Amino acid sequence: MMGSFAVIWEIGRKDLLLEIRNKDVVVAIAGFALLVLVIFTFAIDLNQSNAKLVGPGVLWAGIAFAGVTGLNRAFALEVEGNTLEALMLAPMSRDLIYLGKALGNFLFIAVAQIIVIPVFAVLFNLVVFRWEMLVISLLTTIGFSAVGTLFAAMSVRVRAREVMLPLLFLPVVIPLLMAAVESTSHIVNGRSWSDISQWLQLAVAFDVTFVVVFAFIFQHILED
Amino acid sequence: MKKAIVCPGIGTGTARLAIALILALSATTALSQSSSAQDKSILSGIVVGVETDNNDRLTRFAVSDSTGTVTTFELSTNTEFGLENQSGDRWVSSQGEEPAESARRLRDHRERFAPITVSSQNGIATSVVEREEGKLETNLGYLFAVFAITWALFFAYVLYMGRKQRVLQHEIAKLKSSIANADRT
Amino acid sequence: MINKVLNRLDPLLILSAALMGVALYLIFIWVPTETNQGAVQRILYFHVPVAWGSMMGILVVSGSSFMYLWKKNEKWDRLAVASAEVGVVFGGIMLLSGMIWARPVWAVWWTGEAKLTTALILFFIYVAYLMFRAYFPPGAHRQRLAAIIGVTGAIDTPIIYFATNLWSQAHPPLVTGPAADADSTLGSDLGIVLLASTIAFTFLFIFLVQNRYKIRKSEDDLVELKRASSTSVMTGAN
Repeated sequence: MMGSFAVIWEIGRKDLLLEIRNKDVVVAIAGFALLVLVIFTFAIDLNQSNAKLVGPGVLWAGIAFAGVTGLNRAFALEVEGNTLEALMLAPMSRDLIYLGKALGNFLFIAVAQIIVIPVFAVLFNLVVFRWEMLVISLLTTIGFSAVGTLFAAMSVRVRAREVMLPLLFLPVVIPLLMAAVESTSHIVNGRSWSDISQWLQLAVAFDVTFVVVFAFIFQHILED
Repeated sequence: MKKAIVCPGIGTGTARLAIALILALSATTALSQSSSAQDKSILSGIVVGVETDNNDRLTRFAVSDSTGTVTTFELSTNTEFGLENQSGDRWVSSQGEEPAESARRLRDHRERFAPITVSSQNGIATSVVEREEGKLETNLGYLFAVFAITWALFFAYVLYMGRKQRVLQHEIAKLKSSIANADRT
Repeated sequence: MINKVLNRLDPLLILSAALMGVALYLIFIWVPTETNQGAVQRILYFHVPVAWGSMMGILVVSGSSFMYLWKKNEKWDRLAVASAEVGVVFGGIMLLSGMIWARPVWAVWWTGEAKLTTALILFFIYVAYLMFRAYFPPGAHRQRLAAIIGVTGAIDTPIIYFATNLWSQAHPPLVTGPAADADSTLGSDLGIVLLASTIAFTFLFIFLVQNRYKIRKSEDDLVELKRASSTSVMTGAN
């Protein structure tokens, strides 16, 4: 059992080391999300009341779109280096490969959020640094990376990869996006755990379902 | 009426307020003949009166139907509005959210003689909306649109499939004959 | 001559056309006009069966996608793509007819009601399914990946429905209109017409899926023939 965790960690660490060297993916996600936030501060005449109303939606829409860009970038790197095929040849269980790649993507999106959410708090003048926010961010990021990893791996060989990934990814994660937006808007309005518990349950159900099912299904996306 | 009997015992201030409220309510129910007759009713007509409080919030309005009968409606915070301005932009909100805007919109309708449809329950309006062109009973345009779109889309899809099938069969026939030729030689 | 035409006509087509005729008679002539909503209420006799058709489409796609992943039989893939395409056509008509009905009755084209939102999201997922198939190079690999999307849509459906339900509780759908909450005045007549119309549209659905399936089969035959002809040309050259 310890062995499988080590394998997952090794694959995730490999991606992370590569990322630390060239910083491609995190910069893509954080930069894109920050631009979305800034553009919205121009597009909407922000004040104290409407910031609470539109802020959470803008934040998560930005992160979702930026996440797609980052996932595209992450798998483009794999294609350029032909590393995915090499990884598939490795003598290990396919679900571990999936979980390792998902771990890498999780770390990328999480790091990008560490940059984006404070900027969001400043630009929209909202209080978001609370434990509730940490939990919902983590749950959302797990779901995004679980779904995104599989779909990005599937889209690698598609002609219009940049178009295909968001078309596949976004509709499927809408429930998770709703959970994130609703919880965040409760949080910025100063409410606490009991108000967001249903959304948290939903996010947990989403994450568990897709991590388990996609880990199981991942073997099918490889070529024979 | 039960409330009015109980109230004097509570305290003079609240009692007076309660009595005033009940009197106002019974006055409006007496005024609105048609809506008091049944629980729910739908009425279309032209706005003839708009009443607001000191903060310009809508408190009451009156509608005259085609026979000239004037009906007064009270509002609740749940009263919903779906009204258009002269250029056709629709404004959708509720009395609880924008009580001042609703008064402005109704005054605008009164000035333009634009008809509205009011759904009410016990004299309290539940929804106030733009009266649809040519009334609900005869708005066949929508039905026609659905019918036309449904069949146009199905027809287009069947045509598309038929063409695809023909092209495929043509190619298959061509290939088969070329294979047969190749076998013969 | 007549025999020739009749032979070429599918019995399913004749059956669904006849049933559609009966349904149309019931919808436009037999059933009385509903008093609260007026003529537009008749839209529901199209909308509900078409929605049922798109639901069947989704069920068949996910079911046969699952079977394909399990059995790896080409037949299941053909059935999946056929019902996905027909399901998306039905879904598009469902969304359009629903909006046209909602405008006079609810006074808005669209509202954030749970069923509407769920239908729209599912529509997008299966449009993505078809687009993926169109963009990916054909072959067993594409079939497998498409089947994964088909299954994903099915897994996501209950989560989407739960989420949209919660979401629309937080944002009560603004349903305002002259007949938004009026009960139907038709009673059992409505049920009869809906049933007839649903049966007719079900046969139309089966007919369309069957034809789309045949096209998919012909495409496979063509690929097979091309391979055969290239080998036969090669052997001919030898």
